[in-house]
Amino acid sequence: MSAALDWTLLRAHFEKRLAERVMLMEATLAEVEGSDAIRARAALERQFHSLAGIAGTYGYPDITDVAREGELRAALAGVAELRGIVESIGI
Amino acid sequence: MSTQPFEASFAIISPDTYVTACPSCAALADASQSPWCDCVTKERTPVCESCGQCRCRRPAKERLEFRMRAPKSILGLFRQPAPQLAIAPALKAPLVMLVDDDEEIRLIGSHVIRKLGYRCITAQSGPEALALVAGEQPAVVITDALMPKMDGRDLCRFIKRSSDAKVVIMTALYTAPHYKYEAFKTYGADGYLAKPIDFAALQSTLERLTA
Repeated sequence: MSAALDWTLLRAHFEKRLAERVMLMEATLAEVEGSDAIRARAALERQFHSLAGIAGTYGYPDITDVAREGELRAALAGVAELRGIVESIGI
Repeated sequence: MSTQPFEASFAIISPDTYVTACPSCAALADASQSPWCDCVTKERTPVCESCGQCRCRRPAKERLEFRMRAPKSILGLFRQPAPQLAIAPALKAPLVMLVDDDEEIRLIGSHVIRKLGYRCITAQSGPEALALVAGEQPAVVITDALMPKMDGRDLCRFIKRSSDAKVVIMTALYTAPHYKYEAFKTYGADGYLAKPIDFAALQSTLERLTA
């Protein structure tokens, strides 16, 4: 690569957005217990899927692993288990 | 482009200062200090020093809006001969389009692609990408597979029918061999990239497709 990447700026941007993503996941998780659980679980699965692709790209493979686990379990796992996965996402 | 020139020019209170964001790469620049394109049109536009794109291929409405908002003293430059652009070599670099509905992937992906020496434009949806392909004619299109409005795999098929651009499908799904086979055989992709993006794989893929 001809020049170094601006990792400081990129990671700062990712970390800021990560907090927003986790808040969105928590909001979606609350909807899983509501009447439209199937739609909420599908939305949560997409959110996990998106985060799994992004985190590793920004240099956070551990978050990718957690998000992949969440993506696989979003359709069927209990709310408590999903909440545990969401809460384990962090830097 | 570093933020320093922008902050410096913004600090100068001048009627000629006109800070704009590049519609292709979103880099900020003072249009009064930018070089101007030498396109054969009545509405020549400033060239982005970051990505080398001018606005001449943008929609007429966008160019009109630029002209209406810009100070007249800047627009007077249209009557002057086009200057020799210092960024001419950059204009010859292959153009890569990155299509992803996720802003963070577009940000880091375009950043890496530019660092690798290519020009880069981004689109956040399939329909937007198709419109840009017709106007910008990129050499390579890298598209996410799962997107709202238009799936990246359908986008690949449309692009293959209408242009010579090479298409790379990028997704976390394509890690299994049969998915890779599907990307190449069913959708006609020229390459695939797995997410998270491996920058070495991105570099080798771009080198192969632009050789």
